[in-house]
Amino acid sequence: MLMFLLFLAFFILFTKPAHAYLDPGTGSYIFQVAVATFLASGYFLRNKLSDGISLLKKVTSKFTSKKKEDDK
Amino acid sequence: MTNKGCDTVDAASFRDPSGFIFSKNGSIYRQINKVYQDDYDLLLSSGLFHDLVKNNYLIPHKDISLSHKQTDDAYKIIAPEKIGTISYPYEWSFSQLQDAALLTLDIQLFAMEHGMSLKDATAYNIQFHKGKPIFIDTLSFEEYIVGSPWVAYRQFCQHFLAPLSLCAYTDIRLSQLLKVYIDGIPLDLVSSLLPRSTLFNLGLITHIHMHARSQSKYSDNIVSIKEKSLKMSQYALKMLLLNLRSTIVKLKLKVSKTEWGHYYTFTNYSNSSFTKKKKMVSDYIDMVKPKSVWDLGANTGEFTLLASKKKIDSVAWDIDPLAVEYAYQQVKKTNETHLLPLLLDLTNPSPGIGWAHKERKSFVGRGPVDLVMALAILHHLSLSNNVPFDQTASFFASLAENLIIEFVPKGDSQVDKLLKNREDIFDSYDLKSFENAYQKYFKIVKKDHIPGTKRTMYLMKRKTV
Repeated sequence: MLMFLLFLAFFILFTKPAHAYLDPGTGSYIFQVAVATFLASGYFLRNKLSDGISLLKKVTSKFTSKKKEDDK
Repeated sequence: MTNKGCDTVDAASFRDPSGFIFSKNGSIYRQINKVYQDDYDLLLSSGLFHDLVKNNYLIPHKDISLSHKQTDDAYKIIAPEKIGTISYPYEWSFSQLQDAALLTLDIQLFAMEHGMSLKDATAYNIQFHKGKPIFIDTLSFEEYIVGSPWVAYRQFCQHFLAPLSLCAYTDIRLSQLLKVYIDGIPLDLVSSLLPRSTLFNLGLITHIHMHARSQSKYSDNIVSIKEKSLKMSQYALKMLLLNLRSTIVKLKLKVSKTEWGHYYTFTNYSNSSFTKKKKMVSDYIDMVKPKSVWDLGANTGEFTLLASKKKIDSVAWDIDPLAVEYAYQQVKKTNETHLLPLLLDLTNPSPGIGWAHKERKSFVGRGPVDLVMALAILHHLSLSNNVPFDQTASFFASLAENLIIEFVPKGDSQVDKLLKNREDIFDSYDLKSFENAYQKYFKIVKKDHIPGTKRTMYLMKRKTV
């Protein structure tokens, strides 16, 4: 999973070069993009998973309370 | 750099074409060049400058007439608020460096909300002012281009994460590597010095170990990052910054309770001799009325507080990184605004380093101050380090016009401890020899015996040549 996401992160698009005086370091610059993209995907997936679990809990609790009413 | 009359351009201020620091008649100014005009105007119009200054994140400044300009490409001249003693990251304790790191990240996050970004993340952008870290480089901000990676990521890792992780996981003394590596500690070196347990720390395995491997992979620089045109979303950059932040917050020094207890006991040592010594020093300070004080061998700053509580800008210099750490934690706890604890080995003080030995000033180069205190330190210099009285006197005279110094004779338990396991070759370590040597450089203004001890306290004033 980790390797897959890192591979995705290396998929590149065009952008404007920096005007900063500082040398960012080639390895650091490229690595940063991979890490940041992975972290962002990780947080995104975790949030979506959390939303999905909350929705599932809501649906199952409604189903459970309806079943209890029917059993009465 | 060029001089204009009696104006001097700061020796450290040459890398960024956006502008530079210069001094004129003892005051500090910053020239903002026309090439930085758009970014500077955005800094103000976006509200970022106002918000940073309001939160005490960025040093405030006054606008000054362009007649002070040093070169024709000047856009504006500003006068930043004056900082007391300038200090450098290799003189900071663990928590000082950690707070400086967190401030840098918080400023970057703040800047992004205003459409700007830091173009560098050097630890030399931070100074300690009124007891807290503050960002001093007003020209470090540039327009944030959405999609751009953070140009300062490498520098941040090397200047901040590297020494902090070495102190936390390997040895607290390794922050001194910042003196050797002026642009931060190389990550491959850090990676080799950190223990294997850091491989279980997600932040360190990412930003140190894997980061070092990536640097090594691209070290020939054959790949042009402009041609690769890398892009990342603002959200991704924010996640990176938050991840760096949480990695740094979680780093802690491994100090046992007994080790901390030693400092706590020392600062609460309250026998009557100690109290009388404190009163004596306080009275001497009142006689001198200094604007600035350096306390040498200050330990946790117990005596430095005597000056700082009188609202005098004071620095507590000590060789022990844990003593400095303890002192800084007390400064934070008590909101002490005039005390700065710093690390210093008096027998090997901070040298002038960087380009032409001038970028970062030596310890002596950041003086003189009005008053130096050398309490219970002279015997360490004279006996443990064999430095003759004449040389310590000459050295102290170069630092300040006024000196408070404590002579601890043989027969005192602290001196006897130093001589216990070595041959006593110090025949002229006595009060009379001490006074004779020091009176070549100083006039003795006051001399008092400390009751209940064998020690003598002096207030001295440097002789005019």
